[in-house]
Amino acid sequence: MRNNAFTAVLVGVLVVAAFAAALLVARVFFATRQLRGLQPMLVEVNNRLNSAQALLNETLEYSKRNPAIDSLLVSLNFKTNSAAPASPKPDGR
Amino acid sequence: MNETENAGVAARTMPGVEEPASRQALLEELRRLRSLLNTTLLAMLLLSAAVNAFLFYQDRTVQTELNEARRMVQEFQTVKWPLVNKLVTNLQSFAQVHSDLNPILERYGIKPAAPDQASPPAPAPLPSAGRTGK
Repeated sequence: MRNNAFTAVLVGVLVVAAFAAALLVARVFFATRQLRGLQPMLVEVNNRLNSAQALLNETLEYSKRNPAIDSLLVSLNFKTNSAAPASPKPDGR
Repeated sequence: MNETENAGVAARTMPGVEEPASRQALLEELRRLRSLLNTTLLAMLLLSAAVNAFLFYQDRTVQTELNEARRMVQEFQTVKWPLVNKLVTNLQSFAQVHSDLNPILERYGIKPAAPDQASPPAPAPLPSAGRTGK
């Protein structure tokens, strides 16, 4: 009888473990599918951020030739006032 | 399972064999079978625990990656892309007065704003967030 109870307990625990495994498999499956769906968007986001960074770098280079653009860059926090040249800004920003 | 009943049935199906010896053999066989079943169940339980541990680890990893990806997209849509749009709009306005900026803008496919245009269009639409579920 004691042996039977032990077997029943083992079977019960095994059933619970099987349900837990099924639940975890479902969670991993759906999360992986969502992640796969997000990948193209992440690639696009990275491409756009790289382009924006390159544009900003060129604009910063341009600001060395034409300091008039500094006020624009400072207003968007892309350039600090301390980094700006000593020449006065046209609009005082 | 009722062991006495099983032993009796086995004894009836094996004529010529002494009942006590047969019963002892059957009981021994039953004990071995139970032991084998328990061993198998224990082995399956161990295997199941290992599989569950792996799945739990995998689940945590995938959920972390998913949350990070969502956060990146969200941050891009709410913070970074509006800032880029604002920069482009301001550069377009600036280029109306300083035409030497136009070659830089054209390299990035940004057309100069028309002089009478109040708010120039954004350079590209935001990626849609509705494509996450496939």
